[in-house]
Amino acid sequence: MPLRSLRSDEGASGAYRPWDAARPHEYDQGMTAIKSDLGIAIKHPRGPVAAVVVPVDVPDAPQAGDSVSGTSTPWRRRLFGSAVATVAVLLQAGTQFYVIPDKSRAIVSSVYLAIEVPILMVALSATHAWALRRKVSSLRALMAGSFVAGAIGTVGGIVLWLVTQRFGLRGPLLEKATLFGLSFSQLYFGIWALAFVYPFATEDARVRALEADKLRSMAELSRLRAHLEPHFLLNTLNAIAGLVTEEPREARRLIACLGDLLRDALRDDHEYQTVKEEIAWLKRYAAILEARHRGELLFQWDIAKELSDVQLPRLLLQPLVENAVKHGALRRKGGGGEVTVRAFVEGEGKALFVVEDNGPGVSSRPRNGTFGLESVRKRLSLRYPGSDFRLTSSAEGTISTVEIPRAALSNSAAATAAGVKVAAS
Amino acid sequence: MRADEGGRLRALVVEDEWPARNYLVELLHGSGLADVVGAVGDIESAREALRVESTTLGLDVVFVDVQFAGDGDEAGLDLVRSMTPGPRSPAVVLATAFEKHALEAFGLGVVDYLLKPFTEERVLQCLLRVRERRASLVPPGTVPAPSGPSRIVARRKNRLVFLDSHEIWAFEAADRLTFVHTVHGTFDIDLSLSAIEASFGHAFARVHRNWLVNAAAVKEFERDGNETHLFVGAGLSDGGNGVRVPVARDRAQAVREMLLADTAGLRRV
Repeated sequence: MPLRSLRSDEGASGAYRPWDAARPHEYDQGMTAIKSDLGIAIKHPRGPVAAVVVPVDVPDAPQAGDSVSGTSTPWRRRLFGSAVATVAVLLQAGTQFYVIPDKSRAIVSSVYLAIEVPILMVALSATHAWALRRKVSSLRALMAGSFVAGAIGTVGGIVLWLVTQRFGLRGPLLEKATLFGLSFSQLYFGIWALAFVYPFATEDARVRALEADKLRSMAELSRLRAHLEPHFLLNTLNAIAGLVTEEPREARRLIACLGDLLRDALRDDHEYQTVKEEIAWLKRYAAILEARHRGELLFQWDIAKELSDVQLPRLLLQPLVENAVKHGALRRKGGGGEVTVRAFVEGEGKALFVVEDNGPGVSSRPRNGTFGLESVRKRLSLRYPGSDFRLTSSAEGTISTVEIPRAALSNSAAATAAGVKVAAS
Repeated sequence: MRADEGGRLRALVVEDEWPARNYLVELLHGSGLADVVGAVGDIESAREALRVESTTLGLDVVFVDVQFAGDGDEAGLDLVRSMTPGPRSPAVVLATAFEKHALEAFGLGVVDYLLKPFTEERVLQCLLRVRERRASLVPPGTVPAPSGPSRIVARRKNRLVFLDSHEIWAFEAADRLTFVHTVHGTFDIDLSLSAIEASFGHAFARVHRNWLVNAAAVKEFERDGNETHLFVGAGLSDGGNGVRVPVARDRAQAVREMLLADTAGLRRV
C-alpha cells in the first residue's frame, strides 16, 4: 500500500511543513492578500492600508505594476511561482526517497508528482486568469480553483491507479487513489495560492496603498484649493461688500486677490508648483485674511531667493498658515496677532519652511485643527524620504517646521511627471 | 424707511471680522429701524456687553456671527445657547454663510438669520420681523421710552468700557484701527469711523478723513497758515487735558461755521 502510506505520511504535512510552520505569518499574509487580490479589502500585515478598494482590474495589466514601482511584472511573478512550486516538488520527492524504503514506490510517487504538479499549476493559473478577467468574487475564485484542482487530482488518482494496475505495481485501491488524488490536489492548490498569488497580492496591496494615498492627497488637494472653501468665499464676499462704500480701493484689491485664488482653483491639476508660486498664492490668501481681521492679524514674509524655483507639492504650506491664523494669531488676547512665513536653506542641504505665530500656543488644539496638519505630514512622508514635520508650541506661540532634504527637492521636477502619469492612469 | 411706530431697536453686533462688522452696523443704521449701541469682535466681549446692557437700558436684538475664527467654528451658537431666555432678553439674529446653522438655531429661539453677503433688503426685512416679534412680546405701553443717547462700547486690552457720548471727545482712525479719546483716556473701538458716524456717532462731526469730533467738547479752533486744528477735551491746549485734531482743508470753513453757529462773542466774517 505504498500510496496509502505515502498519503498518511503526507497527511501529517511532512513535506511542506517547513514552509507552513517556519513561516506561518507569510501564510496568513498570503490568505488575506488573496482576498485583496480579488477585490474585497486589503488588510496588510502592517495594518489596514486602504479603506476603500476599487474593484480590481486585471492585475496583469501593465499599469498596476509599472506606474508606481515598475519593479515587478507578471512574468517575474510567474517565474517566482514556478520556482516555488518546483522546490516544493523536489522537497516532497526528496523526502519520499528518504522516508520510503521501497525505491520503486518512491519513483512512482515522484513521477506522479512531476507530471501532476505542472498540470495543476497550469490549470490553476488559467483559472486564476479567468477569475480576474471575469472579476468574480474572491470566494468564487477560490472555489473555482479548488474545484479545478479537485477534478484534476481525482483524474490523476484514477490514472495513477490505472497505471499501477497496468504495470502490476503494488498500488492503492481505486477509491483510496481517488481520495488521495483529491486531497493531494487541494494541498497543491494551497501551495499554488501562496506561490502565485501571494507575491502578486502583496505587491498589489502596496501599489494600491500608494494609489489610494495618491487619490487621497488629490482629494485633499482639491479640498485645499477649495480653500476657496465656501465659507472662505462667502465671508470674503461679505467683507468686500462691507468695504465698498468706505474703502473702495481696498475692496477692489480684495476682489483682485479673490479672483487670483479662483483662477488658481480652476487651473489644471498639477501636483507640484514652485515655491514662488506657492508663496504668491499664500500672500493673496493672507491679504484677504488680514483685511478681514484688520488690527488682529499681520503677516511677515521671509523667503530665500535660492528656493523660489524649487518645486513643492501644491499648497503644502496652506494648512500650516491656516492653523497659525485660526489657532494661533487670532486667539491672541487683545489683538496684534502675527504670522511669519519663512523659507530658507540650512546647513547640510536642508530646505526649511517655517510658519510661526504669536498666539497663545496650542495646548488644547481642537480636533478639526489636526486634520490639515495630518495631510501635510502624509504628503511629506509620501514624497520625500528623510523629510520631517514638527510642531512646537509654547505660551509665546507655535512654530511649525517642514524640513526637506535639498537633494530630494531638486528631483521633484521628475516627480511631477510621475505624479501626473499616475493621476492620469 | 423710518420706524414711525415705536422707537428704534437697540442692537448689539457680535462679529469677528472688521469689514463685516462695519458693514452690518451701516446696514442696521441705514434701515432707520435700529440704533447700534455696541459692536464687538469676540465672544468674551459679547458676553460682557450683554451682561452690562441687561442691567441698564437693555437690548432689543443681538446679531451674532456663527463662526469666530479665533474662538471656534460654532462659537456664535455657543453664545446664543448660553443666553438666558426671558421676556426681557434680546431677540437673536444669526449671521452665517449657510442656512444649515439656521435649523439648529431656530431650536435655540433665534428669530431670524442673515446670509452672507448681507443685503440692505434682507436686513430691513429682518428688523421688521424682530420689531413685530418684540411688539407681540411686550404689551403696548410698556415699551421702553425711545432710547436716549446710547452708550458706546470700547475696549482696552481685554477690558470693555462703556462710555456716555458726552464723555467722548473724538474718534480717530489711525493705522487701520479706530480709537476713541475720552475723559478717561484713549480706548480701542472695533468699528470704522464711517460705521460710528452712521450709528451712534450721528451727533459727531467729521472734521477730517480720520477724525470724528464731539462738537460740544471742542475748546479751540486754530488756523495756522494752511493748517487748521481743533483742540478737543477738558481745558485749553496749554496745560489742558485733551487731543489736538487736524481739520481737513476743504472742511475747515464748514467746521468753523458749525462751531460758531450757536455762539456769541466773535464778530462773524
